[in-house]
Amino acid sequence: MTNSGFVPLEHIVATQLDDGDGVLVDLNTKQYYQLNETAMLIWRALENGHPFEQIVAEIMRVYTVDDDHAVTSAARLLKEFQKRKLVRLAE
Amino acid sequence: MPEVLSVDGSAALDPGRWDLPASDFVRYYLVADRIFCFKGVDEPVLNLVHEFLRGYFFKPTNLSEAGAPPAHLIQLHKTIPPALPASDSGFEIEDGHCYTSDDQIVLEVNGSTIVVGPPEFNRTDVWLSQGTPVRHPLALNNVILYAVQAALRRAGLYQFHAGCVLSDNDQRAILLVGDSGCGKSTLTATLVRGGWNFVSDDNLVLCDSASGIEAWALRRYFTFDEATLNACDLMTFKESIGGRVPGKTEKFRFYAPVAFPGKFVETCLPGAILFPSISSEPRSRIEPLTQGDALARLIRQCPWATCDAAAAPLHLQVLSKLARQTRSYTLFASRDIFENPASIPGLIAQQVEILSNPQ
Repeated sequence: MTNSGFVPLEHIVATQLDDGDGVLVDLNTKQYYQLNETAMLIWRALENGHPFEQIVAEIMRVYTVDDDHAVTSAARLLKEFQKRKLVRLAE
Repeated sequence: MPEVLSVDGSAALDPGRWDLPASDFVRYYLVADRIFCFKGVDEPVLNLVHEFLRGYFFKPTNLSEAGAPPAHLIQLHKTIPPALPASDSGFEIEDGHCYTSDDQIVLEVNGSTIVVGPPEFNRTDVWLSQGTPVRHPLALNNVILYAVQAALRRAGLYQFHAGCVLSDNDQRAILLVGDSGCGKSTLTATLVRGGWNFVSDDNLVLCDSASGIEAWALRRYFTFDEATLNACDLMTFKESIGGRVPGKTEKFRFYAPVAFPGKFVETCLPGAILFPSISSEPRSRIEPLTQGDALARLIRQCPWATCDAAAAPLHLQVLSKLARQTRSYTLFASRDIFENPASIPGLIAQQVEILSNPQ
């Protein structure tokens, strides 16, 4: 996989807080989402166009988790972002 | 019709270029260090706006005194407005409908039309309908209010419904934030009665500055019903009680600067936020909130932060900075503090940390 496969949609505004948590606001639906530190880390990685492998490596660098756990967490979060129409497939 | 903005984003105007000939029909107002220009077609229209703005901290000024160009132009028309968008985009608002696109919004309010131009135009056009005043007593005021709120947003000033007080000892203020009926006006009045400096009971603007997020008073008076005036022992300041609020006959205007001279502060830096909630528990208590929970509540209180797409990113950034600049708490307000208002300052002093350093 050369990238995560997804990029944030243009109408999603993200803001990060001091404790690492963040909030996403969907300007189309007016919905907002509270993200924990891990989810925010993944969102920032998507904004920076990081490949899936780099996102997993970043999770393992920040948290004491093994490779399987990091891969599962990242994949689950990406699926959740996709389900809530916060990201689109990268071209 | 001198100027017509189309609703699809293209416009018959040049960004930043306003035709402002020397005219008696132009007035300037200063709000939170920014200048707003109102251009009307005749004196009566400008007088109508002026009367409305007298209730707010819109200070008449002129360009030579202000020393800076206007941040935003509000152009008032009495001609036929542009056609409203045919699409069903947007959403219902009080007294009308809001049509949205990526960079501008069109509001239909009580039969009048407001076009808030793209951000680079710094202008809002208002077509006042002759039919608007007959709809209800506040119909015209509501039109002007929607236009002013949009102009403020485009100039980086975000209207915010909150009480705001400042103790004599602190450099930072406490915001009291919540829906109508949560007790914020009563708490604000009680704290002011107890010696705190006041900024506003319900109507502020927030803006980003080099010092942090600033809160500025927007409305000049409090509004209370008679029971609250009695409960807060404010009826003793008879000279401060104005007339009833037009259209809300159960509410009175209360001029706090008259009742508490020297205790009014026009602007401050918030250091704490209290979200009051009426509680049936025997005793009041205060619980801290995470920044994420606080920001979520702030967004809920500011519907335009997500509805005005062009202003939304900066609006949300201001709310996010406010959440980071403050400590936030839920105040579960029980009967004890309303029966013994003098206990509120003690409760706050014990349990609320007011951040004093910029984050």
